[in-house]
Amino acid sequence: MSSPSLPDNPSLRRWFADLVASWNQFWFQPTAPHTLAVIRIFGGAMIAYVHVIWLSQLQDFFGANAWVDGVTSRQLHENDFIRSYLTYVTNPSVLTIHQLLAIAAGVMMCIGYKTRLAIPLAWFLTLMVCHRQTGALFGLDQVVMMIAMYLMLCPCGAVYSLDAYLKKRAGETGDTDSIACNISTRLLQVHLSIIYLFGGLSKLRGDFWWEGSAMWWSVVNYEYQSLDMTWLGRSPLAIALLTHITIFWETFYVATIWPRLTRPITLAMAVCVHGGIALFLGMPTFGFMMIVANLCFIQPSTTRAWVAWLGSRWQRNSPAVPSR
Amino acid sequence: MPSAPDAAIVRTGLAPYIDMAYLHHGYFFFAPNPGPSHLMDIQLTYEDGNVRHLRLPDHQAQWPRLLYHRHFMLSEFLYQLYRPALSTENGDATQLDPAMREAWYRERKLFERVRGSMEQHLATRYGAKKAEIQLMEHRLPNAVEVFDQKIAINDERLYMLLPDQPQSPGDGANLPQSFNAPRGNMPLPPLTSPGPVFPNRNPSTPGTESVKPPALREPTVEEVRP
Repeated sequence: MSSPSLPDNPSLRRWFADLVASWNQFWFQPTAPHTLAVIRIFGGAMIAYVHVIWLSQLQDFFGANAWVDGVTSRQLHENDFIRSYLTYVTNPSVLTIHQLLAIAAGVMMCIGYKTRLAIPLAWFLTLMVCHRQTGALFGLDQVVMMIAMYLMLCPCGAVYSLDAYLKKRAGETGDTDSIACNISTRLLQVHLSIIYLFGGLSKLRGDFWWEGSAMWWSVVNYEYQSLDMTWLGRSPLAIALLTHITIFWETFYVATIWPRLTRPITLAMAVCVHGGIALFLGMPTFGFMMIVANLCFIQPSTTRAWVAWLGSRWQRNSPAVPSR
Repeated sequence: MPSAPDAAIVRTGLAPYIDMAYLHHGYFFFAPNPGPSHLMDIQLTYEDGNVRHLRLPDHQAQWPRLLYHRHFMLSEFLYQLYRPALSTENGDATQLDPAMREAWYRERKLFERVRGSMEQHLATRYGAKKAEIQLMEHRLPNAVEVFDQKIAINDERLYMLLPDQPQSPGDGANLPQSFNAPRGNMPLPPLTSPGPVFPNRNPSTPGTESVKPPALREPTVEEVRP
């Protein structure tokens, strides 16, 4: 007796149907924008802050005699596709206007005003600065660009925004759930998982992560240090444990972040690791934004509940306004 | 680490997108190992002959922290491009095959170009006639040095100038000029990589080790650069 051919095999067909359904649910299930809105608020504020810092040293970083002048910057990118009009611009007034516009876009993204315009604008202006500032960039720039790139794909200004307030005041209501919000969330989640996977894999090439001393070499780096943690070195066991917990968490984040059972632990570890980087290794902006990026794994319903709780606490603690 | 041929094909195909969207970075945070920091030792020469030394980055001079970190990254960036001059005396330059010599020449030119831009910036910024940058490595101390020998993690003996000119045999440690603090009696051995972190805890007399010119190396992207 011959077995049924593959297309007629019911279990295989069911498996394919389940696969397609899971794929559709993963990417195309409409989702509420509340978590993305919180990420938008922090991301926009950070973009504005980054540009305020650039603005404070405009001539040093963008001027005719910048650290890396425009001609040198173009020469560095002769063999790639990195281009920025800012390599040609040295006029202080034009540069100031550019940076003020970028700050305004970041603030608009943060407060959620004209959000669908503000986020692409913030992303583009920051991208041009990143392409101009080869050499002065680090993880913070990577993470704010990632966040802005995915947020501009969705209506994350539908809640917790000035846009939402104005819409409500005009009497407009509507469903805020959207497929675009889900796609943005998934892209952020997948990208973040890839960041940790490759971060972990690249560390596994180093001896210090295997022998458990990497944490020591990190805390004794004076140029990074913001709080002295060298006392940790009195316990080689503690150093080794912290090193191995960090490398284990980072390498396996891509797997442990998805199951409901391990997700809270993985996120708690993210807060500890990035909080440590922010407090002790002199990168408060980078550490904070990595924690913000990790919010993409929080369900919108949970975010909504937290924000409502915070709102009620704030109302309770704020002084009562006397009625007229 | 050189790219594998299959990875290079994928990279080439995706390059326009990942470059333009600023996605071209690897995520090598503190990888493969947390390593030493690289700073700039700057000498400013003024018209009247006065000379001033600066060190970058500087916690005090650059604030807030994000601004400090931008300067720190510039210094690390210059180190990534660093291709020291080759010696003709000991045959470094002549022993290279033509392709390697060509690669070295191209990379050296790029390093000089970026360093020149930075020196021009510094001269303009501080109103000096001339600015000269020399790269400096800050070796990380191990636990014995910190706890038993009581060496501060910013002790001047942990800083070493990276030679840009070929070194003669017998040249000692190059201590940077940007420190005004009095030096200890015996400089620590300027190791190019940290030794064991928790070796025998009995304090030992630091040995001496002459500084060798850094060997020609492959371009590295895996620098410590969170």
